[in-house]
Amino acid sequence: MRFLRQPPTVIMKTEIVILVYQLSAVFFLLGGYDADKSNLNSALIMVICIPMLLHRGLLVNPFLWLTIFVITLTKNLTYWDTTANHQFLIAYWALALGVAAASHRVEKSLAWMAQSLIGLVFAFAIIWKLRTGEYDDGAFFYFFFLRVERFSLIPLKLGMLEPFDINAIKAIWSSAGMFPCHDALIDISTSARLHNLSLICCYWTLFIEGAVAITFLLRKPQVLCNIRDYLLLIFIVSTYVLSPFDGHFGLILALMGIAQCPLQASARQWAYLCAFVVLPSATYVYGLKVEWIGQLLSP
Amino acid sequence: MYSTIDNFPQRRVIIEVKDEKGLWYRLTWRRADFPPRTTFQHFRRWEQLYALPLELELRSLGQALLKSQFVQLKDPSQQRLALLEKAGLRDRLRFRGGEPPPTVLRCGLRQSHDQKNAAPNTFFPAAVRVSVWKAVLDMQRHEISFVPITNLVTVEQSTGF
Repeated sequence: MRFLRQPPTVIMKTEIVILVYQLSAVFFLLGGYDADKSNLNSALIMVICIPMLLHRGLLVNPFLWLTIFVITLTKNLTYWDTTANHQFLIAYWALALGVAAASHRVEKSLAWMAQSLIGLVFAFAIIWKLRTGEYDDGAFFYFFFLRVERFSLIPLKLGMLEPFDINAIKAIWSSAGMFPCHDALIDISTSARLHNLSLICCYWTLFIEGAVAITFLLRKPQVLCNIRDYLLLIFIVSTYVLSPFDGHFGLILALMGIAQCPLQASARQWAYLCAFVVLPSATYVYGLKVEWIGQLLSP
Repeated sequence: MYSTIDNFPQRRVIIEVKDEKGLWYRLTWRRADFPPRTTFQHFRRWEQLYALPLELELRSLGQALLKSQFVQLKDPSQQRLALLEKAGLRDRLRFRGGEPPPTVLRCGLRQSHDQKNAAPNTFFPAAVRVSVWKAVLDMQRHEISFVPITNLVTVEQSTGF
Protein backbone atom coordinates (compact mmCIF):
# COMPACT_ATOMS: atom_id res chain seq x y z
CA MET A 1 0.00 0.00 0.00
CA ARG A 2 2.94 2.32 0.67
CA PHE A 3 3.76 1.93 -3.02
CA LEU A 4 0.31 3.32 -4.02
CA ARG A 5 0.67 6.39 -1.80
CA GLN A 6 3.68 7.57 -3.80
CA PRO A 7 3.34 10.34 -6.47
CA PRO A 8 2.41 9.12 -9.99
CA THR A 9 5.88 9.87 -11.44
CA VAL A 10 7.50 7.76 -8.74
CA ILE A 11 5.06 4.92 -9.43
CA MET A 12 5.87 5.15 -13.16
CA LYS A 13 9.59 5.15 -12.46
CA THR A 14 9.17 2.19 -10.14
CA GLU A 15 7.14 0.33 -12.74
CA ILE A 16 9.77 0.88 -15.42
CA VAL A 17 12.52 -0.29 -13.09
CA ILE A 18 10.45 -3.36 -12.21
CA LEU A 19 9.89 -3.99 -15.92
CA VAL A 20 13.64 -3.83 -16.56
CA TYR A 21 14.28 -6.31 -13.75
CA GLN A 22 11.52 -8.61 -15.03
CA LEU A 23 12.79 -8.52 -18.60
CA SER A 24 16.33 -9.12 -17.38
CA ALA A 25 15.16 -12.15 -15.41
CA VAL A 26 13.34 -13.44 -18.51
CA PHE A 27 16.46 -12.82 -20.56
CA PHE A 28 18.62 -14.89 -18.22
CA LEU A 29 15.94 -17.55 -17.84
CA LEU A 30 15.72 -18.03 -21.60
CA GLY A 31 19.46 -18.53 -21.89
CA GLY A 32 20.59 -15.09 -23.02
CA TYR A 33 23.90 -15.67 -21.28
CA ASP A 34 24.97 -18.45 -23.63
CA ALA A 35 23.27 -21.17 -21.59
CA ASP A 36 24.14 -24.08 -23.84
CA LYS A 37 27.70 -24.13 -22.57
CA SER A 38 26.79 -25.42 -19.14
CA ASN A 39 23.75 -27.37 -17.96
CA LEU A 40 24.63 -26.77 -14.33
CA ASN A 41 24.65 -23.01 -14.85
CA SER A 42 21.30 -23.19 -16.66
CA ALA A 43 19.77 -25.14 -13.78
CA LEU A 44 21.08 -22.67 -11.22
CA ILE A 45 19.85 -19.67 -13.20
CA MET A 46 16.43 -21.32 -13.54
CA VAL A 47 16.22 -21.96 -9.81
CA ILE A 48 16.98 -18.31 -9.17
CA CYS A 49 15.00 -16.59 -11.94
CA ILE A 50 11.65 -18.38 -11.68
CA PRO A 51 11.00 -17.32 -8.05
CA MET A 52 12.25 -13.84 -8.96
CA LEU A 53 9.57 -13.52 -11.62
CA LEU A 54 6.91 -14.70 -9.20
CA HIS A 55 7.83 -12.44 -6.30
CA ARG A 56 8.72 -8.74 -6.52
CA GLY A 57 10.76 -8.80 -3.34
CA LEU A 58 13.03 -11.44 -4.82
CA LEU A 59 13.13 -9.64 -8.16
CA VAL A 60 15.07 -6.71 -6.69
CA ASN A 61 17.10 -8.75 -4.27
CA PRO A 62 20.76 -7.68 -4.69
CA PHE A 63 22.12 -10.98 -3.42
CA LEU A 64 20.28 -12.97 -6.11
CA TRP A 65 21.52 -10.70 -8.91
CA LEU A 66 25.05 -10.91 -7.59
CA THR A 67 24.68 -14.70 -7.59
CA ILE A 68 23.61 -14.57 -11.24
CA PHE A 69 26.63 -12.36 -11.92
CA VAL A 70 28.96 -14.90 -10.30
CA ILE A 71 27.38 -17.78 -12.26
CA THR A 72 27.64 -16.01 -15.61
CA LEU A 73 31.14 -14.73 -14.90
CA THR A 74 32.26 -18.21 -13.87
CA LYS A 75 30.89 -19.60 -17.11
CA ASN A 76 32.59 -16.84 -19.11
CA LEU A 77 35.94 -17.37 -17.41
CA THR A 78 35.72 -21.15 -17.76
CA TYR A 79 35.15 -20.84 -21.50
CA TRP A 80 37.01 -17.53 -21.80
CA ASP A 81 38.50 -18.27 -25.18
CA THR A 82 35.22 -19.29 -26.80
CA THR A 83 33.07 -16.67 -25.11
CA ALA A 84 31.80 -13.82 -27.27
CA ASN A 85 32.49 -10.27 -26.10
CA HIS A 86 28.88 -9.45 -25.36
CA GLN A 87 28.67 -12.33 -22.89
CA PHE A 88 30.95 -10.34 -20.60
CA LEU A 89 28.62 -7.35 -20.99
CA ILE A 90 25.72 -9.59 -19.99
CA ALA A 91 27.59 -10.60 -16.81
CA TYR A 92 28.32 -6.94 -16.02
CA TRP A 93 24.64 -6.18 -16.51
CA ALA A 94 23.75 -8.74 -13.81
CA LEU A 95 26.27 -7.02 -11.55
CA ALA A 96 24.74 -3.62 -12.34
CA LEU A 97 21.25 -4.93 -11.49
CA GLY A 98 22.55 -6.22 -8.17
CA VAL A 99 24.44 -3.05 -7.27
CA ALA A 100 21.49 -0.85 -8.27
CA ALA A 101 19.10 -2.98 -6.20
CA ALA A 102 21.32 -2.43 -3.18
CA SER A 103 21.43 1.34 -3.65
CA HIS A 104 18.99 3.91 -2.23
CA ARG A 105 17.93 5.27 -5.62
CA VAL A 106 17.53 2.17 -7.74
CA GLU A 107 16.30 3.82 -10.94
CA LYS A 108 19.01 6.49 -10.95
CA SER A 109 21.91 4.18 -10.35
CA LEU A 110 20.56 1.64 -12.83
CA ALA A 111 20.19 4.36 -15.48
CA TRP A 112 23.72 5.64 -14.81
CA MET A 113 25.24 2.18 -15.02
CA ALA A 114 23.30 1.24 -18.17
CA GLN A 115 24.39 4.46 -19.86
CA SER A 116 28.03 4.05 -18.82
CA LEU A 117 28.16 0.40 -19.87
CA ILE A 118 26.72 1.16 -23.32
CA GLY A 119 29.13 4.06 -23.79
CA LEU A 120 32.17 2.04 -22.72
CA VAL A 121 31.25 -0.99 -24.82
CA PHE A 122 30.97 1.11 -27.96
CA ALA A 123 34.09 3.12 -27.12
CA PHE A 124 36.14 -0.08 -26.75
CA ALA A 125 34.57 -1.49 -29.92
CA ILE A 126 35.57 1.57 -31.92
CA ILE A 127 39.10 1.59 -30.48
CA TRP A 128 39.49 -2.08 -31.43
CA LYS A 129 38.19 -1.52 -34.94
CA LEU A 130 40.45 1.46 -35.55
CA ARG A 131 43.45 -0.32 -34.05
CA THR A 132 43.17 -3.43 -36.20
CA GLY A 133 42.67 -1.43 -39.39
CA GLU A 134 40.12 -3.81 -40.90
CA TYR A 135 37.60 -1.05 -41.40
CA ASP A 136 39.78 1.58 -43.06
CA ASP A 137 39.58 0.09 -46.52
CA GLY A 138 36.46 -2.08 -46.35
CA ALA A 139 38.40 -5.34 -45.93
CA PHE A 140 36.30 -6.60 -43.04
CA PHE A 141 32.95 -6.55 -44.85
CA TYR A 142 34.43 -7.52 -48.21
CA PHE A 143 35.80 -10.71 -46.71
CA PHE A 144 32.65 -11.42 -44.73
CA PHE A 145 30.33 -10.88 -47.68
CA LEU A 146 32.28 -13.57 -49.49
CA ARG A 147 32.99 -16.05 -46.73
CA VAL A 148 30.12 -15.86 -44.23
CA GLU A 149 26.73 -16.93 -45.53
CA ARG A 150 24.61 -14.72 -43.31
CA PHE A 151 26.46 -11.68 -44.64
CA SER A 152 26.13 -12.77 -48.26
CA LEU A 153 22.39 -12.22 -48.32
CA ILE A 154 22.53 -8.44 -48.78
CA PRO A 155 24.99 -8.32 -51.70
CA LEU A 156 23.22 -11.28 -53.33
CA LYS A 157 19.87 -9.51 -53.06
CA LEU A 158 21.39 -6.29 -54.40
CA GLY A 159 22.89 -8.15 -57.35
CA MET A 160 26.45 -7.21 -56.33
CA LEU A 161 27.46 -10.81 -55.90
CA GLU A 162 26.68 -14.00 -57.77
CA PRO A 163 26.42 -17.46 -56.18
CA PHE A 164 29.25 -18.43 -58.56
CA ASP A 165 31.61 -15.93 -56.87
CA ILE A 166 30.94 -17.37 -53.43
CA ASN A 167 31.34 -20.96 -54.58
CA ALA A 168 34.54 -20.10 -56.46
CA ILE A 169 36.10 -18.42 -53.44
CA LYS A 170 35.02 -21.30 -51.23
CA ALA A 171 36.82 -23.75 -53.56
CA ILE A 172 39.97 -21.62 -53.81
CA TRP A 173 40.08 -21.04 -50.04
CA SER A 174 39.72 -24.72 -49.27
CA SER A 175 42.37 -25.69 -51.85
CA ALA A 176 44.78 -23.13 -50.39
CA GLY A 177 44.58 -25.07 -47.12
CA MET A 178 46.51 -27.89 -48.78
CA PHE A 179 49.60 -25.77 -49.23
CA PRO A 180 51.96 -23.94 -46.91
CA CYS A 181 50.74 -20.50 -46.00
CA HIS A 182 54.08 -18.79 -46.51
CA ASP A 183 53.88 -18.46 -50.26
CA ALA A 184 50.17 -18.74 -51.04
CA LEU A 185 48.36 -15.79 -52.62
CA ILE A 186 44.60 -16.10 -52.96
CA ASP A 187 42.81 -13.91 -55.47
CA ILE A 188 39.31 -13.06 -54.18
CA SER A 189 38.44 -10.29 -56.61
CA THR A 190 34.78 -9.85 -57.53
CA SER A 191 33.23 -6.53 -58.50
CA ALA A 192 33.86 -2.84 -57.84
CA ARG A 193 30.28 -2.60 -56.57
CA LEU A 194 30.95 -5.13 -53.82
CA HIS A 195 34.11 -3.23 -52.94
CA ASN A 196 32.09 0.00 -52.64
CA LEU A 197 29.38 -1.67 -50.57
CA SER A 198 32.06 -3.00 -48.21
CA LEU A 199 33.49 0.49 -47.80
CA ILE A 200 30.05 1.97 -47.09
CA CYS A 201 29.29 -0.74 -44.49
CA CYS A 202 32.65 -0.27 -42.78
CA TYR A 203 32.33 3.53 -42.61
CA TRP A 204 28.73 3.25 -41.46
CA THR A 205 29.82 0.90 -38.65
CA LEU A 206 32.57 3.28 -37.56
CA PHE A 207 30.18 6.22 -37.67
CA ILE A 208 27.26 4.69 -35.78
CA GLU A 209 29.39 2.99 -33.13
CA GLY A 210 31.47 6.13 -32.61
CA ALA A 211 28.35 8.28 -32.36
CA VAL A 212 26.77 5.91 -29.79
CA ALA A 213 29.99 5.92 -27.74
CA ILE A 214 30.24 9.71 -27.69
CA THR A 215 26.60 10.42 -26.93
CA PHE A 216 26.41 7.84 -24.14
CA LEU A 217 29.68 8.79 -22.47
CA LEU A 218 29.23 12.57 -22.61
CA ARG A 219 26.55 13.88 -20.25
CA LYS A 220 26.49 17.34 -21.90
CA PRO A 221 25.44 19.16 -24.08
CA GLN A 222 21.76 18.30 -23.91
CA VAL A 223 21.46 17.85 -27.66
CA LEU A 224 23.70 14.76 -27.41
CA CYS A 225 21.51 13.33 -24.66
CA ASN A 226 18.46 13.84 -26.82
CA ILE A 227 19.77 11.92 -29.79
CA ARG A 228 21.57 9.07 -28.04
CA ASP A 229 18.53 6.78 -27.89
CA TYR A 230 17.79 7.26 -31.58
CA LEU A 231 21.40 6.38 -32.44
CA LEU A 232 21.34 3.25 -30.31
CA LEU A 233 18.00 2.19 -31.81
CA ILE A 234 19.36 2.77 -35.33
CA PHE A 235 22.39 0.65 -34.44
CA ILE A 236 20.22 -2.17 -33.07
CA VAL A 237 17.87 -2.15 -36.04
CA SER A 238 20.52 -1.79 -38.74
CA THR A 239 22.73 -4.46 -37.25
CA TYR A 240 20.29 -7.02 -36.01
CA VAL A 241 17.47 -6.89 -38.49
CA LEU A 242 19.68 -6.74 -41.59
CA SER A 243 22.40 -9.09 -40.37
CA PRO A 244 21.78 -10.52 -36.93
CA PHE A 245 25.04 -11.75 -35.53
CA ASP A 246 23.84 -12.85 -32.24
CA GLY A 247 20.46 -11.58 -31.07
CA HIS A 248 21.57 -11.63 -27.44
CA PHE A 249 23.71 -8.53 -27.88
CA GLY A 250 20.78 -6.65 -29.39
CA LEU A 251 18.49 -7.82 -26.60
CA ILE A 252 20.82 -6.73 -23.81
CA LEU A 253 21.32 -3.36 -25.52
CA ALA A 254 17.54 -2.91 -25.77
CA LEU A 255 17.20 -3.78 -22.07
CA MET A 256 19.89 -1.32 -21.07
CA GLY A 257 18.32 1.24 -23.37
CA ILE A 258 15.02 1.00 -21.49
CA ALA A 259 16.84 1.27 -18.15
CA GLN A 260 18.65 4.50 -19.01
CA CYS A 261 15.88 6.17 -21.03
CA PRO A 262 14.41 9.29 -19.39
CA LEU A 263 10.95 8.84 -17.94
CA GLN A 264 9.37 11.46 -20.20
CA ALA A 265 10.67 9.69 -23.33
CA SER A 266 8.02 7.00 -23.38
CA ALA A 267 8.10 6.64 -27.19
CA ARG A 268 11.77 5.67 -27.03
CA GLN A 269 11.06 3.24 -24.21
CA TRP A 270 8.39 1.62 -26.36
CA ALA A 271 10.83 1.45 -29.25
CA TYR A 272 13.38 -0.36 -27.08
CA LEU A 273 10.67 -2.68 -25.81
CA CYS A 274 9.59 -3.44 -29.39
CA ALA A 275 13.22 -4.19 -30.27
CA PHE A 276 13.43 -6.56 -27.32
CA VAL A 277 10.34 -8.44 -28.52
CA VAL A 278 10.95 -8.27 -32.27
CA LEU A 279 14.66 -9.14 -32.36
CA PRO A 280 14.35 -12.86 -31.58
CA SER A 281 11.74 -13.32 -34.33
CA ALA A 282 13.79 -11.27 -36.81
CA THR A 283 16.78 -13.46 -36.02
CA TYR A 284 14.65 -16.55 -36.61
CA VAL A 285 13.36 -15.29 -39.98
CA TYR A 286 16.90 -14.36 -40.97
CA GLY A 287 18.09 -17.81 -39.98
CA LEU A 288 15.62 -19.27 -42.46
CA LYS A 289 16.90 -16.96 -45.18
CA VAL A 290 20.48 -17.95 -44.48
CA GLU A 291 19.46 -21.59 -44.69
CA TRP A 292 17.89 -20.83 -48.04
CA ILE A 293 21.11 -19.20 -49.22
CA GLY A 294 23.07 -22.22 -48.03
CA GLN A 295 20.88 -24.43 -50.23
CA LEU A 296 21.33 -22.07 -53.14
CA LEU A 297 25.10 -22.14 -52.80
CA SER A 298 25.54 -25.83 -52.20
CA PRO A 299 26.92 -27.52 -55.32
CA MET B 1 46.71 -0.25 -47.60
CA TYR B 2 47.04 -3.61 -45.91
CA SER B 3 44.49 -4.67 -43.42
CA THR B 4 44.30 -7.67 -41.17
CA ILE B 5 41.38 -10.00 -40.81
CA ASP B 6 41.98 -10.38 -37.16
CA ASN B 7 38.72 -10.95 -35.40
CA PHE B 8 37.39 -14.09 -36.95
CA PRO B 9 38.51 -17.53 -38.03
CA GLN B 10 41.15 -16.41 -40.45
CA ARG B 11 44.07 -17.85 -38.58
CA ARG B 12 45.85 -21.00 -39.44
CA VAL B 13 47.84 -23.23 -37.19
CA ILE B 14 50.48 -24.72 -39.41
CA ILE B 15 52.10 -27.99 -38.45
CA GLU B 16 55.00 -29.31 -40.44
CA VAL B 17 56.83 -32.57 -39.91
CA LYS B 18 60.35 -33.55 -40.92
CA ASP B 19 61.20 -37.01 -42.19
CA GLU B 20 64.43 -38.91 -41.66
CA LYS B 21 65.92 -37.37 -44.81
CA GLY B 22 65.34 -33.85 -43.53
CA LEU B 23 62.42 -32.97 -45.81
CA TRP B 24 59.55 -30.92 -44.35
CA TYR B 25 55.91 -31.73 -45.05
CA ARG B 26 52.85 -29.59 -44.38
CA LEU B 27 50.37 -31.43 -42.21
CA THR B 28 46.62 -30.94 -42.62
CA TRP B 29 44.75 -32.28 -39.70
CA ARG B 30 41.46 -33.86 -38.82
CA ARG B 31 39.71 -34.16 -35.50
CA ALA B 32 40.42 -37.87 -35.18
CA ASP B 33 44.12 -37.34 -35.76
CA PHE B 34 44.78 -35.72 -32.43
CA PRO B 35 45.49 -37.92 -29.45
CA PRO B 36 44.34 -35.86 -26.49
CA ARG B 37 40.99 -34.17 -27.03
CA THR B 38 42.19 -31.08 -25.19
CA THR B 39 44.97 -30.60 -27.69
CA PHE B 40 42.46 -30.60 -30.49
CA GLN B 41 40.23 -28.13 -28.66
CA HIS B 42 43.11 -25.74 -28.05
CA PHE B 43 44.04 -26.04 -31.64
CA ARG B 44 40.58 -25.10 -32.85
CA ARG B 45 40.41 -22.19 -30.45
CA TRP B 46 43.70 -20.80 -31.64
CA GLU B 47 42.44 -20.83 -35.18
CA GLN B 48 38.95 -19.58 -34.62
CA LEU B 49 39.16 -17.17 -31.76
CA TYR B 50 41.02 -14.34 -30.22
CA ALA B 51 43.23 -16.39 -27.95
CA LEU B 52 46.78 -16.78 -29.12
CA PRO B 53 48.80 -19.74 -27.94
CA LEU B 54 51.91 -19.16 -25.93
CA GLU B 55 55.12 -20.58 -27.33
CA LEU B 56 54.96 -23.09 -24.51
CA GLU B 57 51.59 -24.37 -25.75
CA LEU B 58 52.86 -24.70 -29.30
CA ARG B 59 55.85 -26.61 -27.97
CA SER B 60 53.62 -28.92 -25.97
CA LEU B 61 51.46 -29.58 -29.06
CA GLY B 62 54.59 -30.39 -31.04
CA GLN B 63 55.84 -32.71 -28.32
CA ALA B 64 52.49 -34.51 -28.10
CA LEU B 65 52.53 -35.14 -31.85
CA LEU B 66 56.12 -36.21 -31.88
CA LYS B 67 55.59 -38.59 -29.02
CA SER B 68 52.67 -40.65 -30.19
CA GLN B 69 52.13 -40.13 -33.88
CA PHE B 70 53.52 -41.18 -37.13
CA VAL B 71 52.81 -39.68 -40.50
CA GLN B 72 51.25 -41.17 -43.55
CA LEU B 73 51.99 -39.27 -46.70
CA LYS B 74 49.19 -38.41 -49.03
CA ASP B 75 49.19 -35.82 -51.70
CA PRO B 76 45.77 -34.56 -52.68
CA SER B 77 47.20 -31.11 -53.38
CA GLN B 78 47.92 -31.75 -57.05
CA GLN B 79 44.47 -33.24 -57.39
CA ARG B 80 43.02 -30.06 -55.92
CA LEU B 81 44.98 -27.93 -58.34
CA ALA B 82 43.66 -30.03 -61.20
CA LEU B 83 40.12 -29.47 -59.97
CA LEU B 84 40.71 -25.72 -59.81
CA GLU B 85 42.15 -25.87 -63.31
CA LYS B 86 39.03 -27.63 -64.52
CA ALA B 87 36.80 -25.00 -62.92
CA GLY B 88 38.84 -22.22 -64.53
CA LEU B 89 40.05 -20.99 -61.15
CA ARG B 90 43.64 -22.19 -61.16
CA ASP B 91 45.12 -18.74 -61.74
CA ARG B 92 43.41 -17.44 -58.61
CA LEU B 93 45.60 -19.50 -56.30
CA ARG B 94 49.19 -18.45 -56.83
CA PHE B 95 52.49 -19.01 -55.07
CA ARG B 96 55.24 -16.48 -54.63
CA GLY B 97 57.90 -18.84 -55.87
CA GLY B 98 55.84 -20.02 -58.84
CA GLU B 99 54.50 -23.49 -58.12
CA PRO B 100 54.22 -24.89 -54.57
CA PRO B 101 57.40 -26.64 -53.38
CA PRO B 102 57.20 -30.34 -54.29
CA THR B 103 58.34 -31.52 -50.88
CA VAL B 104 55.33 -30.07 -49.11
CA LEU B 105 52.61 -32.65 -49.25
CA ARG B 106 49.50 -33.26 -47.34
CA CYS B 107 49.92 -35.77 -44.57
CA GLY B 108 47.59 -37.75 -42.42
CA LEU B 109 48.30 -38.90 -38.90
CA ARG B 110 47.67 -42.35 -37.60
CA GLN B 111 47.83 -43.26 -33.99
CA SER B 112 49.23 -46.72 -33.51
CA HIS B 113 52.37 -48.56 -34.45
CA ASP B 114 50.27 -51.43 -35.82
CA GLN B 115 48.65 -49.08 -38.28
CA LYS B 116 52.06 -47.84 -39.33
CA ASN B 117 53.14 -51.33 -40.19
CA ALA B 118 50.00 -51.81 -42.25
CA ALA B 119 49.96 -48.50 -44.07
CA PRO B 120 52.31 -47.56 -46.92
CA ASN B 121 54.29 -44.32 -47.18
CA THR B 122 54.57 -43.74 -43.47
CA PHE B 123 57.33 -42.50 -41.24
CA PHE B 124 57.89 -41.30 -37.69
CA PRO B 125 58.61 -37.58 -37.76
CA ALA B 126 62.13 -36.57 -36.75
CA ALA B 127 60.87 -33.12 -35.84
CA VAL B 128 57.63 -31.16 -35.68
CA ARG B 129 57.36 -27.44 -36.42
CA VAL B 130 54.32 -25.44 -35.27
CA SER B 131 53.34 -21.83 -35.93
CA VAL B 132 50.22 -19.67 -36.27
CA TRP B 133 49.57 -17.54 -39.33
CA LYS B 134 47.10 -14.79 -39.98
CA ALA B 135 45.29 -13.88 -43.20
CA VAL B 136 45.98 -10.40 -44.56
CA LEU B 137 43.71 -8.95 -47.22
CA ASP B 138 45.17 -6.41 -49.63
CA MET B 139 42.15 -4.44 -50.78
CA GLN B 140 44.03 -2.86 -53.69
CA ARG B 141 44.53 -6.24 -55.31
CA HIS B 142 41.75 -8.17 -53.57
CA GLU B 143 44.37 -10.71 -52.63
CA ILE B 144 44.90 -12.66 -49.43
CA SER B 145 48.31 -13.62 -48.13
CA PHE B 146 49.42 -14.96 -44.76
CA VAL B 147 51.83 -13.58 -42.18
CA PRO B 148 53.19 -15.45 -39.14
CA ILE B 149 51.95 -14.18 -35.81
CA THR B 150 53.94 -16.53 -33.59
CA ASN B 151 57.48 -17.74 -33.59
CA LEU B 152 58.17 -20.92 -35.47
CA VAL B 153 58.45 -23.52 -32.70
CA THR B 154 60.47 -26.60 -33.63
CA VAL B 155 60.58 -29.73 -31.51
CA GLU B 156 63.27 -32.21 -32.49
CA GLN B 157 63.02 -35.90 -31.67
CA SER B 158 66.30 -35.71 -29.75
CA THR B 159 65.38 -32.62 -27.69
CA GLY B 160 61.66 -33.29 -27.38
CA PHE B 161 61.84 -35.56 -24.36
